[in-house]
Amino acid sequence: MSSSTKFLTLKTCDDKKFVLDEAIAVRSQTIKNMVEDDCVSNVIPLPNVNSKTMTKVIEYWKKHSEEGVSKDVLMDFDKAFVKVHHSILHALILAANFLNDKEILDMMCQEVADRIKGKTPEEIRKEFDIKNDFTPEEEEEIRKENAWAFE
Amino acid sequence: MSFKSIVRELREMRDGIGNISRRRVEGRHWRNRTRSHIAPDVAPFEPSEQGQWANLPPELLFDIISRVEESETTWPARNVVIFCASVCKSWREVTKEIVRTPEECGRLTFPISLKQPGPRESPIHCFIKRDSDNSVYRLYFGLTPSEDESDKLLLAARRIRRATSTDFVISLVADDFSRASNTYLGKLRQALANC
Repeated sequence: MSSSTKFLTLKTCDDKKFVLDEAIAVRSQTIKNMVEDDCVSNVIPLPNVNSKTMTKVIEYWKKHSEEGVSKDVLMDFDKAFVKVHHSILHALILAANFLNDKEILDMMCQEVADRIKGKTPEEIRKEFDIKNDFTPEEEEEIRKENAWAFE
Repeated sequence: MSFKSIVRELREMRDGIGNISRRRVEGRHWRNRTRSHIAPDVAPFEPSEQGQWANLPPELLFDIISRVEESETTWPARNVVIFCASVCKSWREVTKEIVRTPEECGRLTFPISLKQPGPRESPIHCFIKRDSDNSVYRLYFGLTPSEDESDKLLLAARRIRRATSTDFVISLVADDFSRASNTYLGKLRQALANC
């Protein structure tokens, strides 16, 4: 590989283009594999990621690629990064999974796990906008488990 | 093959589950979706009908709930694992797949744990509190009572004296011993005459 900076163009599902330093973009294992297999033409399509989510991902990649950033600064950045609405968390998890960026995926999954902890089933549903879809028979079994869980 | 699926396969190999059970679970998910699609008396099927978090790919939900399960190993915080299984169908399936028996993991999770074999190497310690005023016996998880009385109640029994014998009604909760309750487990009879 040449030492000069190479740029890649990423195209999200809503047709927005992002021009990015290849050295940063290869934080995505998916993109890295494409680059290494030499199957990158001019534009890399990201059919599963929208521009809003990709902007967040690139914000993370750039911050974590900066030189001379202290660990404390990065920790503060990460803390702020995960404090988003659950729908953005959801989009970031799917994007990180598609891009195969284990770092972001780990961080996001941990954030969801932390939001679940200490909550009752109703609070979890409210937090993540989930509908209760159990049958009456299942409800009966669940009430029994919960009665015991609260003892 | 993505990193996630490699991790999953490794995990399955470690747990000795194998690919077949995973495929079975995914099959179940698929059937659930199909069923809600053809059910005549519900709103038209949309991917986000139950919310986007109910439709998260199972392997990602598995990752998230596994983190909850692995970090909350002690009671009462562990009740959140039961709560994850009480959110919606897809969460329940994934949670049930994650939680292992007391014999395998040394921990109690669902009330069904009480009927399953315990770990072979180390017994699970429990203690009983007797309340002679109302003849209720409470079985708690732990070696000795904790100072803040936050111990996990496992089972409760109420003693009922009869003319010729003594019965113990067993329940999952300490304030309901009626046979009609779904927390009712059964009845034990003391075989020996009172001596």
